Amino acid sequence: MATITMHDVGKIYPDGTRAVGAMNLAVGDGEFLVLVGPSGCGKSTALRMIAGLEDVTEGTISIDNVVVNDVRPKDRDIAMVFQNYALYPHMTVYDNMAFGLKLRKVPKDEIRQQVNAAAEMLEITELLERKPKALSGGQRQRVAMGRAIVREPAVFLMDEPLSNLDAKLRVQMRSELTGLHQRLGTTTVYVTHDQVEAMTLGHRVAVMRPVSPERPYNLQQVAAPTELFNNPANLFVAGFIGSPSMNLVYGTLTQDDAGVVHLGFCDKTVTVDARAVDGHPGIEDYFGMQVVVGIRPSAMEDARVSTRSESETIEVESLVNELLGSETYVHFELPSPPVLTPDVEENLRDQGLDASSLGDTTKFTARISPDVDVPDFTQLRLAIDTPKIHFFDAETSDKIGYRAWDDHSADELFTQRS
Amino acid sequence: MTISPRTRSRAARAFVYALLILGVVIVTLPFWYTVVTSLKPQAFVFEIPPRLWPSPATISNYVEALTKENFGLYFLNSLFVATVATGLTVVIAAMMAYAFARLEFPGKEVIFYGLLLGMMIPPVMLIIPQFIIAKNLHLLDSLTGLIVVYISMNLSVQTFLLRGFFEGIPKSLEEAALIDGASQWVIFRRIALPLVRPGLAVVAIFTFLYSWDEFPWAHVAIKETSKRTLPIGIALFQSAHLTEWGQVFAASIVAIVPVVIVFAVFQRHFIRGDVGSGMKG
Ligand SMILES: Nc1ncnc2c1ncn2[C@@H]1O[C@H](COP(=O)(O)OP(=O)(O)O)[C@@H](O)[C@H]1O
Ligand SMILES: [Mg+2]
Repeated sequence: MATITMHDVGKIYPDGTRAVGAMNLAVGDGEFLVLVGPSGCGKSTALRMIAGLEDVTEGTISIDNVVVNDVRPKDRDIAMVFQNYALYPHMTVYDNMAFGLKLRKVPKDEIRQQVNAAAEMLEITELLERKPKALSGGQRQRVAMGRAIVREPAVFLMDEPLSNLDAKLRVQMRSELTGLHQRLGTTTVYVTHDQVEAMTLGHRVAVMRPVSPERPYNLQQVAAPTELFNNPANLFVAGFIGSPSMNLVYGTLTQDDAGVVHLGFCDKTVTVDARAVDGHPGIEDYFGMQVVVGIRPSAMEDARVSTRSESETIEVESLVNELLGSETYVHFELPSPPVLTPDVEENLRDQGLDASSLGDTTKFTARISPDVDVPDFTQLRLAIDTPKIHFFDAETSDKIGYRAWDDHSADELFTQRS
Repeated sequence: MTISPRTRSRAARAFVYALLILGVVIVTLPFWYTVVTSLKPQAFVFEIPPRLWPSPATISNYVEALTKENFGLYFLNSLFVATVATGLTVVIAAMMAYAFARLEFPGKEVIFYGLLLGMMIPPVMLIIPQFIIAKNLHLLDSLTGLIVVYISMNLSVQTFLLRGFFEGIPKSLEEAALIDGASQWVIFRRIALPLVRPGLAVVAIFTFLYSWDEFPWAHVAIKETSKRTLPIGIALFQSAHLTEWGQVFAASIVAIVPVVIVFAVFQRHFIRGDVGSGMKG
């Protein structure tokens, strides 16, 4: 059992690349914390610093309140699962799992007992005498896991351990990982670039982003999955979390004499529920100005089956629809230039796209009930769940009124959590 | 007349096979001739045209070569020198190569290229300076002296070769071992070394071959009869016995045996390398 604290941690590689900056993070005892972000955002670097595989350039890392910057990996009481599993090819599964125990001079009987127990837990008992060469990808993954748990370390560090499995196996291993963590309760830091994995596995999720000269820190938001989804700190987080991703469009807010707030975007206008207004403290300052409006696909519904008022609906022309059985995705376009902020562009780049691929219209996706029949290319009235609309500052990309986390104090973050 | 593609490809294949067979003949003919001659009585050795089948056949060449002079002693000397030189070269080259591949120390690349430079000097040019150094170090006329020189002659090439093998080991394997609690030495010994076994086998074979066959330096460095190695011994057969070619060839055949054994023992190691097999599916 252990806590991990990163205090103002930075990493500059010998070639001058800054991979991590001003990282403040507190992982609670027994917590499953996920580091998520596009590739190259410094997740592995952060994890490897905790493991002791990379030197810490700036700041301090503590495990159980002991600064470990200069402690060797083997003395940190951690175990790591690598993306490529890194099983010792010349050793049997048994020896792979026993290696760490042998080096720690654990008596032979005890080793046997511990390896067998771990193997049983992971259902790899019948593989113990095999060499890694004779294992499938999924089996190798389990062995890698087994090698980590057999030592009963205080901390698990995992760097994209499921990314090499096929989709089906990945989902299965995901739930097994959750089960394993519930059983062992070991503090875990888990790295992935897959936001679905992050959201399903993490108690809390830390969204990271590559550092840049203007923004020399990686962490964008550290929060529980629902909080990330419902209250994203900025457009980067908003765009990264959720699938399909949040719809963004430029809009303007106005308030009428009765105090009702209206949102205009493209040629549409809807009234905005007071809860959305309250959720963005200080939004009054933005009335009459251009803001970025974020609407999740799930915050829209076919008006025929929605209980929202008439004033919260918009008329659109559906393009192609995807009927998935449990839900239907309606795609449509709004005749308005797409939202292009640095955050959005960064997310696009991560998906291998660039700004020009957006064209000059705004593309929207709505997730609606599968019970209503929506033919392709038809007029459709959509109700917007306006309490769930997000408003972002068009200049800074930050969520309006978000308690910007100017305070990087790890201690405070940690007390917040408990 | 048109040639169908099938016919053409068959012709092409026939040509390739013919070429390969020719190659095999060119390579094996001298060896075959050695074997045949070693089984001929002296009178038939220079027969024109030479016959490629020993008739009449005799093993008297073998009996005489192996019993005469100090053949047995020379053989043992060679075996000792080659075995020790090979063993030490493998160990030292592996440690050096691992250091060059994985450790960080000042001047690493400069030292490495210095080592490679040594590789490029023709060995014959080194004989005189080597002789002077060996003399000062009292390494002449001793088997230990031969071993020292043979190791030094092989070290740079073999280090160069093994560095590549070590660099082929995924870093994460060593990091996993580091987290498992392995020291640098344990990582080298228990993780890296077993994974470069194919490389070690290559090093062993080539070093053994070199040390077993080496003639010029042994000829210069060894004066004492009892310290002679086999190549020198066989060469002396020629003058001392009015060149009994049958015996020279019989001795040569016997001299090949250890090389064949070493090759047979080590070659199976470089067939199955498994450096990458612990990695992702
Ligand atoms: N050994 C290294 N030397 C120099 N730059 C590196 C090294 N390792 C990673 N980087 C750089 O640091 C940044 C973060 O890398 P990494 O932590 O691997 O990201 P992630 O795991 O999130 O994909 C990237 O820009 C990467 O190119
Ligand atoms: Mg990574």
